[in-house]
Amino acid sequence: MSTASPPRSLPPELDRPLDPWLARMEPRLRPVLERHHDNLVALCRSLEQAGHSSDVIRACIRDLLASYEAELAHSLLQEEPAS
Amino acid sequence: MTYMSAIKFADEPGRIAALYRYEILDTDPEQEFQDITKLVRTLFNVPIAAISLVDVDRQWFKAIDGLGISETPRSVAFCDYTLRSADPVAVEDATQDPRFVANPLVTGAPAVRCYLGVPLTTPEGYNLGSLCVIGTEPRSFSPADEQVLASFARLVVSQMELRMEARRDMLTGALTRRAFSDALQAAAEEAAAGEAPASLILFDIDHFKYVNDRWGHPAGDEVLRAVSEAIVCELRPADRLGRLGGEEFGVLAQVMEADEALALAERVRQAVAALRVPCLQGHAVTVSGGVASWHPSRPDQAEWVAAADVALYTAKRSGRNRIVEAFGSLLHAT
Repeated sequence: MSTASPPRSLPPELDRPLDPWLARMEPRLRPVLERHHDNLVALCRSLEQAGHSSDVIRACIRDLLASYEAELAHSLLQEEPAS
Repeated sequence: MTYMSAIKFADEPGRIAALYRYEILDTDPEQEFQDITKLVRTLFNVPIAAISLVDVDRQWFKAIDGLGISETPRSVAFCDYTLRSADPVAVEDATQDPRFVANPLVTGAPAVRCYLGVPLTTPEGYNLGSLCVIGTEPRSFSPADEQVLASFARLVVSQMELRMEARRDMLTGALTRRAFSDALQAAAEEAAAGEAPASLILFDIDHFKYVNDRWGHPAGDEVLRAVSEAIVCELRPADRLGRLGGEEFGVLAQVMEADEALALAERVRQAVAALRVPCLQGHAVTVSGGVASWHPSRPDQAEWVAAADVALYTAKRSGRNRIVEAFGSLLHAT
């Protein structure tokens, strides 16, 4: 996990602790989601350092979160195979 | 980020196996990857952005924005240079770079001039391909540009991981029924095209309902995990395990003929029979199995599965804890 300081303009969609809902997840999924969250935060930082506006950063994150929402929902709502 | 291993540049077989584990090659376009290339293309203001995955002898694009091709030979891929690097690879003007001056992508369409690529590196340390931006004018990229693209590249990899996990059964880690069906369909098409033989093995745990009824569902879950682990131990990296039903598993063994598949199924049967699941207090676990290789007489997936199913049913009816092979209309029991 990165120890660099968070970007100044971290979008609220990312600025929430993951722990409460990670704890309810399948153990196998947790490190994958943590990595994805870390990568999104790192992207915010690099976009900020490259001089992009907070509006651009927020739009990027919003689009990216919407993209992987379907995969995440599928993983979380996976039904047990029928016997 | 400190959770990545050192990059294993010399292990090409391992790299290819790692790429195949993501089961992403030759799949349909997917929104989350296309959104990344669209965003990158806009942010960098370039004509082309792509997610390239480098296979044995080709580069295949999971997403490409600004160019209507799906793959190129590996020999002309700029991304093959990126693959061999731990850092971004920047080309300011390809016509002045001896590595690319004679490249057909430079001398012909799309007339590549500038390129910035960042390797897609898995947590285990394999470079699978690259995320790249391509321009048709010379251009120099800044360190900040490289950092932005590197951030997107890490997202591509974690997106691939999330996608892979979404295709896995939560309890056993095997492919879901749907994901296994996709793999079977692809294998049937390759076999029909004469590209590679393939075999399907269906396993069903014997008397599983008895285990659940006597020791409870947590014990049943432990049996499912133990059986799936026993199966995986016998498989090659390219083989696929799917959980198809409550206590039914499927194995897709690619590039494998019938006799090898029968031997594999028998090894699995013996491995399962040797299991000792502590919560079952000495009760033995066994599986029955049905084997069917792809055959021109049953060219599509449904017929192929049906053949394996009939073989499995025959194994159950003739006493369980055995393997039966379907071959045309003949059955062969171990």
